[in-house]
Amino acid sequence: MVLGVLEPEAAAEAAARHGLEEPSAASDRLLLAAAAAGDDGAFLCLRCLVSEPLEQKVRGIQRERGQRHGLDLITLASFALDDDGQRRSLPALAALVETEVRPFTAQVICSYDASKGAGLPHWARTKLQTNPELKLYLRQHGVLLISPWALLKDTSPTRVREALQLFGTARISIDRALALHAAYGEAYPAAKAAYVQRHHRRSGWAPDAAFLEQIAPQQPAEATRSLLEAIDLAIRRLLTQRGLASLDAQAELGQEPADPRSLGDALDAAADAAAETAEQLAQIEAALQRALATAVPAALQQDQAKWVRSPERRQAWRLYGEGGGQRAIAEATGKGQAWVSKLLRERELSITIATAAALELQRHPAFAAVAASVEGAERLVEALRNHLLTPEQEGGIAPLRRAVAHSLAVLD
Amino acid sequence: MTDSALPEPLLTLAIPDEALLLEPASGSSRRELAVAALQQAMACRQLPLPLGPEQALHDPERLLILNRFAVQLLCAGLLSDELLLPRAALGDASMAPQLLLLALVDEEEGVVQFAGTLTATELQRSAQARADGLCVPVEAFRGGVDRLFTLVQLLQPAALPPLQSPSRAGVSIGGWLAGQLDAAWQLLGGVLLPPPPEQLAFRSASMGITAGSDDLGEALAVLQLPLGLDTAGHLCSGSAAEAAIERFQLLLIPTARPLAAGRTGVPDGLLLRLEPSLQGDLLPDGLTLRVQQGAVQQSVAASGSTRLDLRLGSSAALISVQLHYPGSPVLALPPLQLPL
Repeated sequence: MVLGVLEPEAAAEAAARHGLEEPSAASDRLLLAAAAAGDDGAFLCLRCLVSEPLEQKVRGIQRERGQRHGLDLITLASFALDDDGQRRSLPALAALVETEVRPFTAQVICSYDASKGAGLPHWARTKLQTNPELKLYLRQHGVLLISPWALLKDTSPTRVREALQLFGTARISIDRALALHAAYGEAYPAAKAAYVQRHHRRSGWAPDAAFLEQIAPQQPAEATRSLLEAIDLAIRRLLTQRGLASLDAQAELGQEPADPRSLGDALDAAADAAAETAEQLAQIEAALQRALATAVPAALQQDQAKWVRSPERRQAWRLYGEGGGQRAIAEATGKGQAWVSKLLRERELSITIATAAALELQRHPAFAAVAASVEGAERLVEALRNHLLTPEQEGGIAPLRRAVAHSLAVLD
Repeated sequence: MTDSALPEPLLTLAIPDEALLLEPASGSSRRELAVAALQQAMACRQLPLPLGPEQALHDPERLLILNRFAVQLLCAGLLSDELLLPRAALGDASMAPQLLLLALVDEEEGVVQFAGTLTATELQRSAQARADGLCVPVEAFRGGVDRLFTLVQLLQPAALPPLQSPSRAGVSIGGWLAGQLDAAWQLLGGVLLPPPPEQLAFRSASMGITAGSDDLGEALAVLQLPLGLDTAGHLCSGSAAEAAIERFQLLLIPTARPLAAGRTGVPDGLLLRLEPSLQGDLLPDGLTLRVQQGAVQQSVAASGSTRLDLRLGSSAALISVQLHYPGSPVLALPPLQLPL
């Protein structure tokens, strides 16, 4: 019996006293009954058992997101594994409001309802899923826990079918699973709306027995829950195989590589008279400089208020202005790459500046046609953006970065 | 596959860098959060673009007007991979957007990710027609909210045609003879085959429509609608039908009695023919063609059938056509009208 690095003797003694060898649903029930009757050793035993799935989930989160999002394993563990291994009384804790019960392992056990059919390890993982402190910490670091009920609702039948074809279970045919998934999706909006009206919040909804019986009246509610969880598991495996879901793939892209073609080449696509390229280049340069002079100081001033409390932000901007890449900036500031990307918002800033420059250029006859064509407008903005992000000479500093360095110097 | 060879189930989602984090008031809807995010995005970029209608920003039935452009704000869950645009909404004349912005929203966490922007033309190219509406993959939307801001600032409104909605009134079959096919039928994948006169006679004969038969004359045009049953056993049309496991087609053939005085070239009847795409194949058993013309309803179901035919005469009443198949949502086609 272990609780992290602890091996509480009382837990081992209780396990031996109750004749337990391997964890099982039956032994969990035995220990629960004993703990409810005042056996603190049995309660400690259960806390040890519950800590294992909690630790697995915490480590899983760290593996998935730790590096890029700067998640600290000890901090993650503190939300779920704050058990000091001391004796506590289940009846005494069960009398408290659930959210006030500590440690978290005890909260899991106090809230467990065996009649719902789920095992204790599964319940532990479910409780951690809704841990508000954990969710807040993750959100602050750019990470969300995926709720099974939201995942089921948002996933299309096409993806469900694909997931089950690859990772389905023999317990349910694909067609039956699709029918159940469709019934879930149809019933979900009304059930969620009723929950929001009753509890005045959106978080925390989970299907109850009545909902499950409504969507699959031909089988017990717990069987339906189990099948929905199997579908959820298949979808999650598919998302992992796909490279962590489409939204994640965008996030993982980080800084986009700029198209290295020269602005001169792109001018031919946007301007009418190729013979006047030199004049147009001058107009473009002037428009870009004016747009940079407005947008970059504004972006830095927006962020400046946070520099006193968080000097890494100014450091990140300085390193960016000197030509530093996201990874290097992340290492220098001790932050995750996601933090750097979110701070600099390079893509957003470059598009905003490029669009402002394009708006000014439209006044010139050579660029007037841009207003009539989606392709023309987007080609011009993309070309301007590439110019902002690409050094004029190899080894040089891109215009956007130079503007950041200049604005920082002015602010200083 | 052994358990150890299976991918680990995904536990978390990385909030994309461009996503906006809001503090949701309890009970905030997706629309409310998406609008707040749109306003915040403009504020961050210092873009004072006019956004309206101010009194109806949160009404999901209303378009947004952003810098003179009609924008449909679509909302889906953060984990969505497909979007279904209900056919009923497409038929609403008040919903004729020039641009469509997709917001992926987590109402619980107050996270809004603008997946991207499509023009109405791009939507019609990306969407797949299904029985219950248009299906668009989320990945079809591109450029985030920045694309929206770029287009509404740089383009003239006339440069972006609005989404063509299916007409509420019946589509006039007479237009087919002039080679005009309504957008609603195009969206379904319908193809108008207006063969020249000499081919008409050949086609009529090959289809078993002979001049002087009991109630038919010659075919004046042929609208071919590819149909099928997808892997879920659901009726589908257009490009989805071309990839379906069971493929068939509906031919809509306006006909005319050539000797009808003063009515030469004007359709006075409509033949609907449902047949397999491959010669020699059978139609799926249980596939049913149902037509209502005013108070008159006709229905025919396949059972070891190589072809199903229904014939309609000239009438002022609208013609509604539906296809049914066990376990599938009904595929209802846009209403038609024979010219009077």
